[in-house]
Amino acid sequence: MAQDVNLAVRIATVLDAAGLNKADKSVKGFEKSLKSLGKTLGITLSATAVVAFGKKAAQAFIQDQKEAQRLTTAVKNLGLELSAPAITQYIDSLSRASGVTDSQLRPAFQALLTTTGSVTASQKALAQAIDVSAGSGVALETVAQDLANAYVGQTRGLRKYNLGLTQAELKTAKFEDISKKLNAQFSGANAAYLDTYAGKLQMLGTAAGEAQEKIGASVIELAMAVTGASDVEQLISRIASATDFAVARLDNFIEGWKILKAIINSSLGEFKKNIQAVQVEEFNRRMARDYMQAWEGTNLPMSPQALAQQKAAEAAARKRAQALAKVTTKNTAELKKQNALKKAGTVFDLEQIQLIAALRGKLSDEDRKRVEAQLALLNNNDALAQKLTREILMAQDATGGLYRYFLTIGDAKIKNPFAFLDDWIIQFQSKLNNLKFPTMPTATATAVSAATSVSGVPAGQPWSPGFSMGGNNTPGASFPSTNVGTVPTGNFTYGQGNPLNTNVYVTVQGSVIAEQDLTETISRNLQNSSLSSGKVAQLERYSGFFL
Amino acid sequence: MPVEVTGAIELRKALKKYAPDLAKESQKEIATALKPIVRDARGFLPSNSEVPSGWLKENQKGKWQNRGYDQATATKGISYSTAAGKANRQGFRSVATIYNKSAAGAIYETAGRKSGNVGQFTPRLNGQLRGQGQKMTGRAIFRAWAQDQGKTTAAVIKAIETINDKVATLVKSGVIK
Repeated sequence: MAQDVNLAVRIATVLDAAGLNKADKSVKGFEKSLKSLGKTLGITLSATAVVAFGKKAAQAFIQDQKEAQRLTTAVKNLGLELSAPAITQYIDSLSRASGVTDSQLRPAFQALLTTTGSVTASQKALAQAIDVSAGSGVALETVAQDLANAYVGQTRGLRKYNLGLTQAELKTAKFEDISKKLNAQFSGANAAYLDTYAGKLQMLGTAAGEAQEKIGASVIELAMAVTGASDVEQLISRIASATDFAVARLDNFIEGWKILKAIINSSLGEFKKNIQAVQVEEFNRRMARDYMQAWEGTNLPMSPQALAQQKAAEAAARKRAQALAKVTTKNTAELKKQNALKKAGTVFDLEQIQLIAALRGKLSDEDRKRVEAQLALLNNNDALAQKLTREILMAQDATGGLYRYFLTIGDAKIKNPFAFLDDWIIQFQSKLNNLKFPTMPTATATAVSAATSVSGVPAGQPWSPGFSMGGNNTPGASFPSTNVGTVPTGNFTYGQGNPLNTNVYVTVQGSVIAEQDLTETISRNLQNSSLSSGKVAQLERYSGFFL
Repeated sequence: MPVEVTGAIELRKALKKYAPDLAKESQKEIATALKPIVRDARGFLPSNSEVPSGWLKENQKGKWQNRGYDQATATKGISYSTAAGKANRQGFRSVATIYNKSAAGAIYETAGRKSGNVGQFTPRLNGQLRGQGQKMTGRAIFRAWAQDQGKTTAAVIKAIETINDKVATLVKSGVIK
């Protein structure tokens, strides 16, 4: 009694293995008798095992066919299409003779064939590769690739076979020499291997594998015959259709069962609703099935209640969308307003106050107009800004040329209406720069030995300093700073003063000739001029003769 | 945590065969150890007025008649057994068992131990879920077992050992051959 109760506290448990041992013994006995029965009847495979074997065989065949197709394509691409059946036959017979599976032989042969381009050479090399593989323990595919490389002069891979050749010898060795060496070292290795027990087992395995592939081919052919498919693609399609059919029938059954259940559990008046609910649920569930693909996007007929519900949901969604759009618009407007206010606030703080303060002060008419124009621009009052700009420009150039020039540069909304003045002033300034200044008489300048520095004059510009010397010039004395007039230089901007009033200061340093020397020089020149010969003469007063 | 005792079943079989009186004595000793727990567990069962009225047996119809609560039935359902239990899937058998076999008692014992003290029914049971792990938690026998703190197990083992000693003495003295 107590042992049947689930809800119990079991105290002091004891391991009683008797029952387990008994059960184990019984299972083993049953297994044994089953095996003996199988042996008696000659049946060693259950139905499941048969199906599994069939499946495996079919898979092996499919894989084998894939590899065979790869080789056939390679052969075809090499222009040896006609040799393809012979190659297949050769691979099969080589597989049986060497105990190497065709799935190993095919890639090896393909590697050799694509390199050598000759079926005979490839067959010979493959036979050799089998021996080398058996003798060296290197995989056949690797050996074949090494041989293929050696055929085109890449002998690096052959080092692992220990042929007794130095690196230099290997590099310079011809394929024939290498082949001879390999033959000498590994010839008959595979035959010797096949003589061993392991070799025989391998051969048996290969034969079994081949048999499995053949059975696989038969299984697929059988399936094709049963389904009436002409090729594997059609077979797959028919299997899919058959599966879909079976799945659809099962789904129908499930749906029917659920509807029945809904009817049983429903009260009067709820049948229709509940059945429809089951149908909708089942339709949605079955939409994942392959056979329902054609129904994708199809809507189920809906009940008036469902339609009303859908309409209500759509209306609610529309309302929500409208509300959202309204909120978004409001937010955007608010954002714009805030931005504008922020900007206006900043501008007001930084610029507008200054302008207004400037207007309160004493300004000339022209300056006042300029400030007013700038203020108008800040407040986006285009009309006023344009009007004031015109007045300013007309005041500067009554002919209207300046204003026309302003109009030609276009954008009336430019932030600085006086920006064009810069260009105009620069043009004007360059004209001033090109003006020639009167040069000073050179007679006095030659007598001056002075280091002259000029401030405010661009380097290399031709100009002559015009300066006048005062009466107090003494030898060794420095020249005072001299105002030499107006020299327009550099870029002038409006408001920095009239360029014509620019002062340039020239400082001349050094000693000047004494008055006596000057008198002597002048008198000597006068004497020279009085001589008829025109030669340079020297008048020596003390000696009393002329040269 | 179950306590494993080796040889208890064999001892019992031997007692039954060679010393039936001693076998009965051993059962009595084990029963004495188990009774306090059963008494406590029964004490944890609520009276009929304490359970939700809708659960009372007298208010039930159909298949729920056997599941409806009745304190007397639930009390009777809590008991003990000193017979060796059936081996479970792992091959273990118990020397003694305290069980709660009535449907209503089982409901009271286990309600809410998986989903918690939620809903309309479980919170109104008012008992305390006690014990270790989900399977050893409950309001009646498991609560009593948790309160016992292993004293009963020790008592049962001591009873078995006492009988074992007695058997050894009898064998030595040549009463049992």
